Amino acid sequence: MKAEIENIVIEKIKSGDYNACNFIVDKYKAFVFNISIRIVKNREDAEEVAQDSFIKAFKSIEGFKYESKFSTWLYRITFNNAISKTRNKKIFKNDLDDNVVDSVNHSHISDGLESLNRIDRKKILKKAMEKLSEEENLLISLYYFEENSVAEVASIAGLEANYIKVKVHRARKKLYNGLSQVMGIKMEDVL
Amino acid sequence: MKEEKIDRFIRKTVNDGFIENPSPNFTENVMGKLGVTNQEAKLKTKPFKSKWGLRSMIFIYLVLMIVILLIPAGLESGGYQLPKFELPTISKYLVLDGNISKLLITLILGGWFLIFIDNYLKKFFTR
Repeated sequence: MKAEIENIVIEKIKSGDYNACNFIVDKYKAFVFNISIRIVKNREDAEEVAQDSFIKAFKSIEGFKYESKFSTWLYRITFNNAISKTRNKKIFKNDLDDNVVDSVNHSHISDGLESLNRIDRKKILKKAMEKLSEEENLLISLYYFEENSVAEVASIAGLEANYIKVKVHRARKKLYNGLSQVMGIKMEDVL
Repeated sequence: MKEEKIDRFIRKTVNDGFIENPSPNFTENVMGKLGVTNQEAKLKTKPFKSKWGLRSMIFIYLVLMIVILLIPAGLESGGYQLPKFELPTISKYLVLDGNISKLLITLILGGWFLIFIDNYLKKFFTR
């Protein structure tokens, strides 16, 4: 139903009715802004990049042929736009053979997480995310937000799905590791 | 299984306000860059509401009718007295002299007129 409404809005925009853009901007502004801020690392620049990404998307909306989700198409524009605004043009490094992350005991993490309240969960996740590299941070955000699949993340980043799969897998392991460490600290705080 | 649980936790936390929000006037700025002012967009979606509103207009109308028509009807003179000048035909029919059917007709016609005015104002001010 939601997708149907979105398609109607997209068709309206395609026919030149820019008033309908309101709906799309309100729906996707948070994540478009978050992709931007994770790449350009600055609130003001991220705001500008996010706004320009919307403008670019609406101006070239004729190019959207429903081959992917609209969000994937929009995030891809945002990703490219943000990359072009940074000096570091290569976010993803070719380092698939680097150190393998140690296996983590998942059971004590998941048990501990269930006993936490909403605010504590946020704090813990934030701390664990800080331990990731910027590349991993971006991948984790793309992967977990709006339930994007590996294929969709690959499409947004413009890279091979297999490459992203390995990267996401590694980033998740590292995040579990980070969570385990943070939870350990948390338990010490409690004790 | 445990991994799924952790995944669920991360997904839930990320989607539950973990992400940062842009400035409050973000949408307005994008619309401005597109050449669409927010005011225009609002006018398209929100209908005009008259300042008084239909209900308050009807309420005031009824109170006025009671004050003007019913109170004089209870006076010793036996009802509303016509002024000395001659009224047009339709007004002559509608003016009350204590007759309840004429009062009802006046109320119905007056109410209908108010509804008509209210609808007209809505159409006029909604683009």
